[in-house]
Amino acid sequence: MTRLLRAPVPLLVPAMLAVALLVVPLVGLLQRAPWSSLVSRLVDDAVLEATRVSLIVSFSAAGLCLLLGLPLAWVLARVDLPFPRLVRAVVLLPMVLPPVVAGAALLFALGRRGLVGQWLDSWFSVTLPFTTAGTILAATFVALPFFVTTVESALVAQGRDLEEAAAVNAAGPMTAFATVTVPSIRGAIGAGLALSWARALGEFGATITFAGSLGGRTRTLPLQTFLALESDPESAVAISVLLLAVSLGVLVALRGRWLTR
Amino acid sequence: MARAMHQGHKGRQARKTHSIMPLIALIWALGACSSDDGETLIFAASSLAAATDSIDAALQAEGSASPPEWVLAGSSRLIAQVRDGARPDVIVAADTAQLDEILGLGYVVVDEPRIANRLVLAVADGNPAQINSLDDLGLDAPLIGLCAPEVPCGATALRVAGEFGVTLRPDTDEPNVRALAHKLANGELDAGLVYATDALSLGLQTISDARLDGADGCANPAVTSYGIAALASPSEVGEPHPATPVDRYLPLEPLQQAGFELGLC
Repeated sequence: MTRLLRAPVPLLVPAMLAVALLVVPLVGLLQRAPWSSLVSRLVDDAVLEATRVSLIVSFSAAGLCLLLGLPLAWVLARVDLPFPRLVRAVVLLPMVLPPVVAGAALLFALGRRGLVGQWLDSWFSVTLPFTTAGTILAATFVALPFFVTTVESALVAQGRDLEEAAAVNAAGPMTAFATVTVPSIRGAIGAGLALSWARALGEFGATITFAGSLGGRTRTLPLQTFLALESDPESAVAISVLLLAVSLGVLVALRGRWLTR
Repeated sequence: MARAMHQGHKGRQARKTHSIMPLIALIWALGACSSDDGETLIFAASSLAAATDSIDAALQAEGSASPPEWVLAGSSRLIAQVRDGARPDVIVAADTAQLDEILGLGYVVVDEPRIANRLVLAVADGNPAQINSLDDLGLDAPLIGLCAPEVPCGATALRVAGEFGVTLRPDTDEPNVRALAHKLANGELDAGLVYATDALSLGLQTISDARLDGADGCANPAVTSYGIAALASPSEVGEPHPATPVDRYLPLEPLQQAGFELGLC
């Protein structure tokens, strides 16, 4: 490891500027935090309700990412797809798409008058917008690429030799996937879960556009923060500090457990 | 894992960096263009969106060089932005009380024009949930949308409900009236309380309810009046009723055509 003082100045200075760019806004947030009343603001009914919704939504979204994303990552890594670059780009798209656009797209597709949503509504009486399920779906939409890319790169890095050998020796490809592949990339799966969970926890734009905002049903912590900014900025800062602490905790833990080489 | 992803792609990475440079230069140049001065910057409540195009047209007809630049958002958000350093020439908030917060910041309240808006009961096209009156906003089955109580249109809705003894069972509290009106327009919500101006501009079907539509002017809880403040010249600060020519920015006729009630409150 190169000592800090021996690092070349042309690298060190921009690196420090980058750190400052990332850290100064956080310091700005923290110095506005109402520390003395922080706890009482966080045990407020509306905040507790939003916390409950946020926990349900973020963990469900992470679960859906695992359920759908693990098979998708495997297919992307192991199957020779037609137009592989296009497929990968589509999978990555929610990462760069403005979340509000994602929400509008979800509404046009799954809303009551949407492409698929109108059939869900008339055949099964299922209406996704303005429900907790809709909130989970919006969060999964934006979080899925974080899981898939993390797991896919681990699968690509690992190569297919081990898996193929196991598939020959063991009962078949499905058994090999479950008993050899998954355990061998469990670190990446954990990292992918944590990243997608954190993304789902912070999700705002797609949620408010697709699922609306109702206390106890669809109003997550970021939505509560946004609302509080209108009327009670100190409470908004308090919630932000909570979200910041939780996200930082997850990322630090992640760095220690999985992302170190 | 990031390393694994990029292995073997070094050549391509380098080429990409080069091809990005002209794009950065272009964005830089565009940024420089758009920051030219002389344009009037107006912060306006979302509900004013209905009138901006016709105001722009009217100003142009009067020989104004460039139309004002509009920033539309929930009134509370706009006030917060001004508190945090934004300096629009004019700010139109859907709630007169909120303007008091920024009077210390070089703004003066403008008395004319006085503009007001009114909440109406809007429904999805064809009224699929068969909403008949305000009282149906308390039903469980239809999807009901309101503005969040934190923004003026939501606060007004609560006032209406309180005054008329109506129960509201919203399925969503939207952050601003535009978001709510659009969800009614594309049929995702069955009914909601939006401003008359938004209903008019989006062509929303409305259900008349004598309590909302009653003509008792400002006494009707559904009517809300706007507050207008303008950035004052130094000599105007502290004057009680400065003669700031706001009609230079907000001509009355387009406002009236867009459904705003004038000279009311």
